[in-house]
Amino acid sequence: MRKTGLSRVLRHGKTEGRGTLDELLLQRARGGDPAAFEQLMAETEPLVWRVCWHYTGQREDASDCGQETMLRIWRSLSSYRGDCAFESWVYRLAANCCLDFLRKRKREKAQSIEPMREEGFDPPDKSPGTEETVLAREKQTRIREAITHLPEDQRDALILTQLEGKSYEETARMLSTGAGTVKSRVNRARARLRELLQDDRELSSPDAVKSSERRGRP
Amino acid sequence: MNGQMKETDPFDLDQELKNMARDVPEMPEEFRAGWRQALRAEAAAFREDGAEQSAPAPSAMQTENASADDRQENAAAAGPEAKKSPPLRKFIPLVSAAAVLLFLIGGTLATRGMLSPRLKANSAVDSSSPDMQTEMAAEAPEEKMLTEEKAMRRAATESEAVESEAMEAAILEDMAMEEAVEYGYMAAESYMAAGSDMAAESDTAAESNMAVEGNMTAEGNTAAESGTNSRVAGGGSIPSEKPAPTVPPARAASDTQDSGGAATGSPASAESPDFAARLGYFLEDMGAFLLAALPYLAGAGVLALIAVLIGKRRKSK
Repeated sequence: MRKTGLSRVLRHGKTEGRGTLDELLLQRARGGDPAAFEQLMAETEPLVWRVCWHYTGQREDASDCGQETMLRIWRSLSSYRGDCAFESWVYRLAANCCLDFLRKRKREKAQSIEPMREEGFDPPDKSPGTEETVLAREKQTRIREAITHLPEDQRDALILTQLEGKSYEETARMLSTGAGTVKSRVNRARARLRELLQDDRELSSPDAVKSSERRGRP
Repeated sequence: MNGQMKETDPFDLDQELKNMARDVPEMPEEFRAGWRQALRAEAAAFREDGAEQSAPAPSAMQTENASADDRQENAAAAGPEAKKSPPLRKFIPLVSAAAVLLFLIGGTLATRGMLSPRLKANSAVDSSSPDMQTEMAAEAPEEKMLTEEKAMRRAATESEAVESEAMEAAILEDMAMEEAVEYGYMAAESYMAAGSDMAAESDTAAESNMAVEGNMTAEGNTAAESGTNSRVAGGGSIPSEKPAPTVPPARAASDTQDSGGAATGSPASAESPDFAARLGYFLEDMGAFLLAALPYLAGAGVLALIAVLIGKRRKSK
């Protein structure tokens, strides 16, 4: 499963010449050449964008998060030893970067809005669109939120197969595991996601609020 | 079950996931331009820093400038081996081996007086009994053995020097004596040949000759004596035509030892069994130390295991 040559690791199914070129680009990028890094990332850049989008679901956030991911890749390029596919290494960095971004944003949001909410301020949803699109966006936000609560292996398998549209084999190659394992992880992720969404709905429904209030009474 | 869930699930998860996959917007041009600009700015800043500090090694600079979060990130992305920085990782086996050696040797040396059964037994015996004294002399503590050995080596080198000097002196004296004897014989022959013709004249001369001869013979004798004496002092190992001294070698050795130290044999031959014995004692003491430290080591191992398990659990969470 593990690739031996760096050139083979960088791009799957590329010719020898292309592999050598990538290797050279990687060396130059490690040597601090930004142009080489840009060239190297030309093919992986859309993946970074999409992963950031899947996690954040908003253009601005995805853009900020993607930018941070790119810089992080640049800074830590020296730590890439070719043990895994370059694409999967980039994916892992992007996913971790997104999780950090979301955590940070949640903290900041809580710090800035919570005191105002306590005083009775309810911020309106600024995103434009009809009621249908707003509802659809909300659903997707809740799914995204639930996805971040999945275990890492299940989350990776779900995002790559369901959202990125990669086959089980491709995903298995990226995650350095078997196709069967990926399949079972996806199934478990779906089941867990349903549970999380169900819990979320129960908690947010008016009945649930009432019952919890009743439980809270002496 | 999935069908049931789908029916009751207003989300229709699969459909929502498909929608989400389809709704991914095209990568905006600002994103591309944004990160490239940030990258170039960072690279330029590093170059400036590198020019100032004359250390623009990119990999090092990237590692240095990566925040703690980034490093954690890298470690997570590159696998558990990347958690330690490469230079540190290189020295880990050496440092570990040194620590283990230090623990074993240091612990053994520090506790051998308390733990070694051999030394305990030695301290317990009655040192006033002569039998015990001989036993103790045979199994003396290592420190005593060391000082004795040093003294013996020093004496051996000194006696070797004395021996070589004595040998040279003896050879020279032998030659002098031979010459003296030859000269004495010649003088006697000439005296005899001169015969009675010169008897009157040679009375005084003969007397003087005899005196000379006698002196020289006496001198030769003393030289010979001193030569043999010195050979005896040196161990008497030089083959000589002269009658050898009647002192047995063992006796001579013991005499010389008594008089302040001498060679009792070659130092190299005595060293190897000594070293083996000392090594044996040391290993024995090390075994005693390890045995005594075993409960503590087991306790530390259990604690380390618990720490590793807790760390793994936290990580999986």
